[in-house]
Amino acid sequence: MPLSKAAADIPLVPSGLDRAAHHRRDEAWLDKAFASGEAQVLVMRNGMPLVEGSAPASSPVQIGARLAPPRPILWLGPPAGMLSPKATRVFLGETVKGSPVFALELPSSFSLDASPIAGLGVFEDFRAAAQGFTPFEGGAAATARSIFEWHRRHGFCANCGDRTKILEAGWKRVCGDCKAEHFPRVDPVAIMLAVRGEKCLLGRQAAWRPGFWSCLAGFVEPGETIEQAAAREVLEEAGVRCSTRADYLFCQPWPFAHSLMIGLILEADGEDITVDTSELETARWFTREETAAMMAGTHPEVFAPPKFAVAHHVIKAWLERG
Amino acid sequence: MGWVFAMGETPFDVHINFRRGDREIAASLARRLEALGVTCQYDAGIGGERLIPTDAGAQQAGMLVVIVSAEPPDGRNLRRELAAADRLQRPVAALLVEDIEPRGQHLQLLADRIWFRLYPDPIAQLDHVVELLAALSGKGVASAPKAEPQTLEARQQSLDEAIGEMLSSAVDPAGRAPTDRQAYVGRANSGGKPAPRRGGAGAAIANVLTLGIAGVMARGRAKKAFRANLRKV
Repeated sequence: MPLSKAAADIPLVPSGLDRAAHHRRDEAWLDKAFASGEAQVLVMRNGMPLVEGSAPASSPVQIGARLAPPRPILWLGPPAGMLSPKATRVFLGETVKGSPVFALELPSSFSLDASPIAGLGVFEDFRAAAQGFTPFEGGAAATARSIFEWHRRHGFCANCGDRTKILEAGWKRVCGDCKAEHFPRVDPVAIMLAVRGEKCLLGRQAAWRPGFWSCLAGFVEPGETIEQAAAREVLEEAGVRCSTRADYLFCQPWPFAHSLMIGLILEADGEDITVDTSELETARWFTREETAAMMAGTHPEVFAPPKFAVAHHVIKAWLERG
Repeated sequence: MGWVFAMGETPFDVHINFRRGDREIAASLARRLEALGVTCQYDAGIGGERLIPTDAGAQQAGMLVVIVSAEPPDGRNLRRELAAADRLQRPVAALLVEDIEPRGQHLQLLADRIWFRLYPDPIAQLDHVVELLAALSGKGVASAPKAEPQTLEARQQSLDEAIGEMLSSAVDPAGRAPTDRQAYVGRANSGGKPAPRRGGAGAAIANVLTLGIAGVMARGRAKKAFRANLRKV
């Protein structure tokens, strides 16, 4: 399905990747596809994609920290399956030209330097690598990271505690004892810009890089709508009451660990702020001019979220509304 | 007391040393050996199917098999099991299940043992070594004890010859992992040109500073021994 113009601009939104779910149960087809010369294999370790180059990988980054220049993903071919017998394989789908796309998660113990591909690439911090992803790569990498995180955390059955095993090309786990089926989870998160007239509300956490401000956000809870979750989170974190008539903008798969960020703009009923310091360090209203300068990188004190984060696009959408 | 005689008193024929990530391989090996009548012990820790005190390890078995992967060994336990196996003159074999060269304690402690290369698919490739291991443990048909007990050295030598013959027909070149790193690069990749490997003079100096000249030389000898003792399956 073609993406809306707005959604197509959002990084990590899959593009050019047909999930081809009808192949997931066909193990013979999967093995044949993986062994074919057409297979494209995205390799990860500890949630970090393999990228080209031999320069040391970025160390895990603080939210908002300056990121190293991105390097292209190093796509491997079928021999990637021989790198480790303990790799987890997931079938991601097919390209528009029909090439099968797989992802491999190598075990933490895998040593790149001691492997046959030493010197070809490095495992890079996901956020640093994400800056350079093409739309196709972003979608594939975000999907792979989310599903590998899910596998990593769901090795045992939530129903009876027995070990689960991977089925359906990596898209399902089944308990060896009670046979309960488990599917990859997605956590919906409302990420919203509360606005009032010509001002918008932004916040920052103490752990973030100084000067970095972003939209408020929070998980949608059972029994509430996305709009209600957005209004609740703004009230909880900043003490600002909002209408629940929010404008939905777009959403973004966010692979930390497996969230779906749902971008919204909602009208605030007032400007008084009472920060919940257990969640935020501070929050304040920014004028349209200040926000535009922040987005343009010309503000002397504050700066905006990077382009690969949906918060950047939520703020941009508000500015473009005029 | 020869090892063949000693094995008759052991409650297990083979003790398997492995790391947590290799448990499936250890279990698969144990199942196959037991199908040949070779009793195995591989769950020496808490939560295993057979709760044997860890320090009993190799002392209760007629042979020690060590599964080696990139996962670092439990060095203290491995040293203890090797000491027991050596003291009781019991054979030791190492199964290399990942495409790596062993390092650290795996290299220091096991370099001069019998090595089998079992990758890229160790579970499938166990078929090629299970009979050999059964033979080494003294339970296999090929190595049934003769009337006159052999020395360990003589026994190892004859088994080495048998192993060589069996492996020469078992090796499947198509199943080997490529050694040319460019063979791994996918067609979709934009570049994938190999970058220079880390190493050279800087790495050599760092090694000398870390290990000392004697340490570097010892490691070199161990690597040489490992390569000489590695049998590709």
